[in-house]
Amino acid sequence: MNHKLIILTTVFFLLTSFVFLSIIERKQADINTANVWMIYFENPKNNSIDFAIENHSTSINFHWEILTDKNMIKEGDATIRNGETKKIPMIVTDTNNKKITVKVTSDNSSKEIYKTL
Amino acid sequence: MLDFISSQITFYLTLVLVLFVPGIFLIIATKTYKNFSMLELFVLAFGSSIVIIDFMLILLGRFPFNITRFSIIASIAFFSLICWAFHLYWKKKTNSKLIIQEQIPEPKTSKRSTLLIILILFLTIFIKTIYFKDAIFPTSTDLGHHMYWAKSITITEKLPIYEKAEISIDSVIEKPTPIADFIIGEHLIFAAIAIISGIDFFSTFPVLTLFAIHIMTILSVFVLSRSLFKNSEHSNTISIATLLFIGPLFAIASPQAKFISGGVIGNDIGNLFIPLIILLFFKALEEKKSSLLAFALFLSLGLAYTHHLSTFVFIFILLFTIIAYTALNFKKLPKEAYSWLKMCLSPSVLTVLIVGAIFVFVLYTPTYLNTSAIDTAVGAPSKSTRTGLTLTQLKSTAGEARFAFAFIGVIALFFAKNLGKYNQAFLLGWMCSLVLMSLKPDLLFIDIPSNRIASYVVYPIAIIAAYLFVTILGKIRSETQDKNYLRPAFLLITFFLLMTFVVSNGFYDNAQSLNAESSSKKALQTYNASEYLEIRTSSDDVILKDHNYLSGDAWIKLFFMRGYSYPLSRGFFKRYEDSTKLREQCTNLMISSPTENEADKCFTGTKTNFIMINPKMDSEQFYRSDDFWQVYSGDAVGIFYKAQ
Repeated sequence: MNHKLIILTTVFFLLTSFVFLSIIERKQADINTANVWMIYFENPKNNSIDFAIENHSTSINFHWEILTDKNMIKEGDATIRNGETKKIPMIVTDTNNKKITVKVTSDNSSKEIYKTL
Repeated sequence: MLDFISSQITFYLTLVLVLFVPGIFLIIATKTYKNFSMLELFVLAFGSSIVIIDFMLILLGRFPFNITRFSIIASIAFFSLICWAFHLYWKKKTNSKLIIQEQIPEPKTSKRSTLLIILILFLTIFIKTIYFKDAIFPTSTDLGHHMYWAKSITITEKLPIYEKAEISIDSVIEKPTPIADFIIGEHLIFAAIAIISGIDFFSTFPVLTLFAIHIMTILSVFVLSRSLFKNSEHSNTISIATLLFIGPLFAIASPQAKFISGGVIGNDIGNLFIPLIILLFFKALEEKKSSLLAFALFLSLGLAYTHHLSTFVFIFILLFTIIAYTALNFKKLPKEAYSWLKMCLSPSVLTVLIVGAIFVFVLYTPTYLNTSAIDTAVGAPSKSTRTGLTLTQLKSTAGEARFAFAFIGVIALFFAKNLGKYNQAFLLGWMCSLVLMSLKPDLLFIDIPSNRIASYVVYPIAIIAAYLFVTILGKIRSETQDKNYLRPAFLLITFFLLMTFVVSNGFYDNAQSLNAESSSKKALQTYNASEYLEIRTSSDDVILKDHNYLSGDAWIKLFFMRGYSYPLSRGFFKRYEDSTKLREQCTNLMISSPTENEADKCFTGTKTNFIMINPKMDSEQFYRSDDFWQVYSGDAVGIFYKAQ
């Protein structure tokens, strides 16, 4: 039995497998291929309503609305390419005891975040 | 792309440096190369490297050196130099002019056998690679827990202190207390690779390292079966059949590829060490070489520093082997016992025992060596999962075809006097101990999950099944007497029938175990949300996440590195209904019913102010309250902040 040959071929097979799996994992670890997007408040703890839209999807057109309780007070559009994050500064007055909701829609999906100030 | 290529090269070079170099030099220094074939040395170098690196890092951690890239590489270089100096000393003393390679015995086998072995190895690696394709992205719970400790070594440059903080009955997070669930050897090797290569923990590196360990395990079982059946006329065929039974067949189910992607590190390394230690013990006893016994004890010590369950299982294997040997060779026992004692009292064995004692009692005592951990493993079974498997469950764990052959194979082994006294004893001891521990743990006073013990049984079962498989074919076709008990046509049909039974069963098992798709997409969202919180929170904030519906949640703690219990976690629901133990309820209440008074007490007591959940499963209860703000929204993850 040629042990050297067995060892060398095993190492070669393993190495090939490792490289293949590393390439696969590299693709899987890229969130820009996951077709997802998310929204969040820039500062989760204070009363700021500044928010961000982080896009890792194929959509690029986003529409946002600011609602005080259930009344829309501001709206806007944003074009965000895959892999980009758009920070949207927001000043809202007269917020006492009101639920301020940020609603973002893109294609057929929507997401909301809110603070009760 | 260049980054990727350079990180790949660095990683592979690190694997060679950490997982081969120390072991190779130890083998050179101890002259072990004279007793083993090249393939045996290959797996021995790998296994002993893991142990050497463990002890090296323990020494670095205990002395005023930090565990850094420089200190690890310098230690490996220093160790290798000392080993080489020993080698030169021996060479000069014996006046030997032979180079090392010339002294390694090379068993001769046909080209056909070599090609068959290579083909089986190719299939083995190929099938497992197909499975890993959808399981390579780091998401599994056990792996996440283990990588936390490995990462803590890379950050602190010290040995980890295994502690976790529990929530008290008064709903307060208590001070961290020691935990016995983790053992240092499970983490040091990963820390060493990460420190030297600089590779990220969120990469293929943990699974690929375990994959390498697993392939070495398969090779270890292969070389062991070759040694154990070396007196059989079919030794070569039996070892190749073993490789087939443990390689491409039943390649995915536990404890094979599933244990690798699942990050069951202790078991994986234990499964490598057990056949290696058996090989060393077997050779030491058979050839009466104390240096090999010392080597076996050295690896046993490494096993004890790596996995308590494997160590426990190995002690039983050894015990049953002694019983089997005594039963089969009762008359020879006094003489043999004397020779064993003589070997045990040799300088090399005593040195390993003394060094081992210094490590255990002075330098670093394994975490499980305390009363509570021993109490939980020994005694009457305390849970239904620990009362033993049924024969059907064991058959399913072992693989039906393998089990069928091994079952009859054990009986055949009792009468196989020509195999050799130690060979027979080790095979029977290995198999019988594990079967008894799996089926009737109460007889042995074992209180460990029976399915975990049963996962060890696949290795002796593969060897014994291969033995019977080849023996059946050998018996119906006797080459030595030039006589066939069956007509050649029937012989061929018998062979193909047996092969079809084994191969179809093995590949069916593989097909059943394949993943539908990768969970990376959901886990990526968990990691994105974790990054969001990592930047915007401090250790004063307390985060609670859900384990039931978040993917890759065990890895969240690697973003924060604020303690093993950070963030708090809502566990599986059944955990909160445990009748055997009073469990804290806060982590469940704070997510399941956050607006109720009991949950409010928990929020106040634990100071929890961030909650990570799957919005599709757990967001409604937070929407209803003004106390919570939703501050992050994604498809698979939502984060709520408790504002009041």
